[in-house]
Amino acid sequence: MADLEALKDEYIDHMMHPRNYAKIENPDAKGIGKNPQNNEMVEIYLSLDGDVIEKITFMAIGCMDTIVTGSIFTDMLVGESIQEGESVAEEFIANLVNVPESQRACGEMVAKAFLAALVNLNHRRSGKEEDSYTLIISEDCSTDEQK
Amino acid sequence: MSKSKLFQQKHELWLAILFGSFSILDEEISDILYDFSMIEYRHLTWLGGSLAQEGVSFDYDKGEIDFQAEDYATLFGKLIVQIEKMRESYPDDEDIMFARFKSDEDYFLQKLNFLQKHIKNEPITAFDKSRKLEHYKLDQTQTNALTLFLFEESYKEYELILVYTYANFFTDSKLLCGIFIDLIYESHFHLKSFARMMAKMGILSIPRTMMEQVYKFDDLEKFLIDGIKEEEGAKEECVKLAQMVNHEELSNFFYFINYQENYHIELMRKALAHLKEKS
Repeated sequence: MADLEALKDEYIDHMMHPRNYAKIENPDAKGIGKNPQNNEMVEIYLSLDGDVIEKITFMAIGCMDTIVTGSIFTDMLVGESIQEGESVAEEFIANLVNVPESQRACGEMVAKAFLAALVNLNHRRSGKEEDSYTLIISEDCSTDEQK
Repeated sequence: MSKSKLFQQKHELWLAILFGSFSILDEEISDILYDFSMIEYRHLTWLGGSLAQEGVSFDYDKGEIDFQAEDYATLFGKLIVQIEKMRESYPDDEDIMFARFKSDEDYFLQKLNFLQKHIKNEPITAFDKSRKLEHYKLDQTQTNALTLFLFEESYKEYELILVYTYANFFTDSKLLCGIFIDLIYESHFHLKSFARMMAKMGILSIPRTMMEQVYKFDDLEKFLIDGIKEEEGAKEECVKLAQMVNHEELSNFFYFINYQENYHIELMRKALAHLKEKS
C-alpha cells in the first residue's frame, strides 16, 4: 500500500486516469516484468520511430502502486530515445532502495518490463522471432530469465 | 460488425450506464440508470453465452468510455449517443436475442430523453477529487486509507464479476454455475457500494481493463485457491479500514462487508470440493 501520508492529488489523478494503459497491436517490442512470488506482472508495449519512443503503453496485474508507477513511468518516456529510456529505467531501479519493499517490487516490475522490451527489440532487430521477453524481479537483478 | 466486437461495445455500454448511474447522487434517478445497466449486463451475459456456444473467441478489452459529465443533462445526452450507436451495430436478422436488446434500448432511449427534458438539471461532482464524505469527519490518514481501499476493491469487484461471468460461459456444472452467480451478484452489490462512496468523494472512475490472463485460465482449481487467499486478504483490509476510520456507521459498514467475505470463502471452498470430487 502507498504511503498514506503522501497521497497527493497528482497520485489520485493517475489512479483515476492511468496514462498509457492499453495494449498496442503489433508493437515494435514487448517486455514483461514479473513477480514470481505472487504472479503479478507488467507488460510494456513500444512503438518506435527509429530509435525514438513514439508510443509506450502498459498493462498490469497488480496493485494501485503498480498502476500509478506504470502511468508516471510511461508518461516520462514518450518522445525519448531508447538509450535515454534505458538510463531512466536503470536509475529508477537504483533509486528503489529508498522506498518501502512492497512499492519497490511494483516499481521494479515496471522498470524491468521496459528493460525486457528493449531486450526483445534487440532480439527482433537481430532477426529472432520473439513475441516478448520476460525479466523476473529481484533486488540484485540476478534471476533474469527468458520466458 | 463482428459478434466479438459487438461484445466489446456491449461491455463498454454496460460500464457507461453503470458508472453514469454511480455518478448521480440523486438516488431515485441513479436507481433508474442502475436498473438499465443491470439489464445491459444481462445482455452481455446472453451475448457472451451465445458466442461461447458458437465457439467464437471474445475478450474483455475496452476502449475509452465517455461517461464523465458536468451535469445530469449532459450525462443523459452522452448515454443516448452511446445507446443509439449500439442500436445501429446489431445485425439486421430476426434473431430473438437482438430483438430483445433493441426493444430494451428503445425504452432506455425514451426514458433518457424524458429525463433530459423534464428533470431539474443538477451538477455532477463525482470527479472533483474533493475526497470529503458528507457527515463524516475523517482526518488525512483515514481519508487516504479509505481512498486507496476504494480504488483497490472497486477494481477487484469489477474483476470478480467478469471472471465469474466468463467462467460461467464455459461451465456445465449446475452447482458451479449457481455458486458463480451468487458470487457475481455479491460483487455487483460491493461494487455499487464502493463506487457510490467514490462518487461522493469525487474520485469515481471506471476500473482499468483486465489482462486476458486473469480470466482466460486453464486451472479453475488454482484460480479458486488463489481466490480464497485474496478474499482472506480483502477481509483483513476491511477490518483494518474499519478500525482505522473509527466511525461507528462507516466502521459497521466495513465489518458488514468483511462478514460477507466469509460466506464468499465458503462458497469458493464448496466449488473447490466439487471440482476435487469430479476429478
